[in-house]
Amino acid sequence: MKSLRSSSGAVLWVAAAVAGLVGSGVTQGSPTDTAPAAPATAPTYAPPTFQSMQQAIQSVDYTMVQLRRFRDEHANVVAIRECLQVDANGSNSPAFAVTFVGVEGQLQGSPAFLKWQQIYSRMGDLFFEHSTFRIRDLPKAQANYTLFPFGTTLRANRIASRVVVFPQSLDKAMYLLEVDAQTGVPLYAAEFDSQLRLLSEVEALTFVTAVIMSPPPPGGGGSTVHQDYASAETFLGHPQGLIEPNVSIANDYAVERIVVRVDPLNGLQKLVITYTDGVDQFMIAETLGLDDVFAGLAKQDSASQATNHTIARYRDPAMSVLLFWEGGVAFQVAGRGGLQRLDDLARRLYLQALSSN
Amino acid sequence: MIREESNEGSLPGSAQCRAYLREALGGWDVRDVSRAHRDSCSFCAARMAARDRLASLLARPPEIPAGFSAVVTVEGVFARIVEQSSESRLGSILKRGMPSSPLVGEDAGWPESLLESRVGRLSSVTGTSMTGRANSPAVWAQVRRSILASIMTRIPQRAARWWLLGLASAAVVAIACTLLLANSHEPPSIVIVDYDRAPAVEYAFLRQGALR
Repeated sequence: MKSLRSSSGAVLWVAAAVAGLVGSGVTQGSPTDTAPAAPATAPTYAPPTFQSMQQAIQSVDYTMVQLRRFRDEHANVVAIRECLQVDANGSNSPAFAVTFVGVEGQLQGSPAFLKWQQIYSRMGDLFFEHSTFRIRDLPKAQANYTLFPFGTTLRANRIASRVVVFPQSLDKAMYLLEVDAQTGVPLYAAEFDSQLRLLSEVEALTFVTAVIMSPPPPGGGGSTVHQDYASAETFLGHPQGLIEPNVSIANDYAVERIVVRVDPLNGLQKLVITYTDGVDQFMIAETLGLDDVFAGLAKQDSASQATNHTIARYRDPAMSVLLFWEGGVAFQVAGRGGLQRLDDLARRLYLQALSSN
Repeated sequence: MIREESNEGSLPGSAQCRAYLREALGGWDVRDVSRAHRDSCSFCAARMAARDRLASLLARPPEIPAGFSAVVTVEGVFARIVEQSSESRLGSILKRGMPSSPLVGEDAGWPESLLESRVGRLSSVTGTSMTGRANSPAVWAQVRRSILASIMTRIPQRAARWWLLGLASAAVVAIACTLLLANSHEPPSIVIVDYDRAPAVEYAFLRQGALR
């Protein structure tokens, strides 16, 4: 009982610290980002819940201009202004559009502007799919996270409830949210690791509950969503080397989405399976038709080339990426930096691929 | 006179012939009268000539056939004699006259397996039911048959036991070979090598934006 009290006390202390960091403006990227204190006359709203936030995804149309701040491994920050339009459709996957607006501090037409414009034209949708806080699976979110409300504030000229989303497992990120009190849409989301390092940040500048969506581009942008692995495999024509991943090592995660993408640059097909614990995600990608990028490494190590298999790993506080190649398929396991279970997951996936070929 | 006596005495088996042959064949001194009878009696003369011929034959004993000198044959003859004697009246008299005395000490113990066998049970039954009396030949014959039957049944049991042992050994060898062969395939060694900068993959773009 004593340990329970002490652990819950520690969680509250960390959550309060996170809320305090944002309240003091430490994490803000520019003076314009600082949120004014809530007026004394602001009405009181019920604190958001996982359910209310999921309901917002399913039912609220909105248009929002927001700043997305990217941090590299050296803590260099780039803030990109983008426009997000969401047209709810009753599901957890609303219709949406992400439009590049500009790079903070860069003139239009500058090299940095053009580079980011190009990135957004290719990957803008993925920023909403994978880099924006939302409730992806309500039961799993309720099982794997706890909400700690910390009062109200103003964000984008709207009253927002400040809340900390704290994970049950410390290898995951914790989030500080400012949720629009009227709609339940997060207007600010900061992601921290267990060392209270800020990993990502998205901040709304303007928010209106209306949307005028332009029709989606023909062809669906080269992505096809599938109900399960079997249908995706059939869609790809049962290629040699493709495997259905066994992710029993991460039981708190479940399959969220199975997508087949076609790279517009090289035409290669890629199966991307996204897993979620309700909030966090990791993904396994299997790209067909790529050459073995580690073939040269194996030849250099003649003593162990018969049994040696290489997984290339990159890890920083924000991300873990593990790459390997087997049987004509390039595998990629990617997730948060703290999720070191992905190492074992990649090993098991490699063994699974070896035994399947 | 002598002739008359001879004619009288020519009848085979007469008193004179018997007297003469008794003296001559018995090795006694032959009297003159008897000697005269020999000269006049062809029957006695033939007997004496036959005795001389048989004496030379009897002087050397006949050879024993090789089959009779074999130990097995002799022991078989002895065994038959013993069996016939034991079944006879004389045998039963001898058995009654020589009651068997129970053994004491370690000699009295029976092997555990024998006590648990059919013979052992039979022995215990007869021992309790016939306490103080000698076992009859029929009981012993039954014991003998039981022993022989027990031995005959043990022979296939032993053979089956050896078969089972052989099969078990073969199975153990087969399993060991399988395991050794399976273990000989070393699990693949997977090495994780760290990048010093983020690879150009989608997720890196998502987390860091443009790669620098």
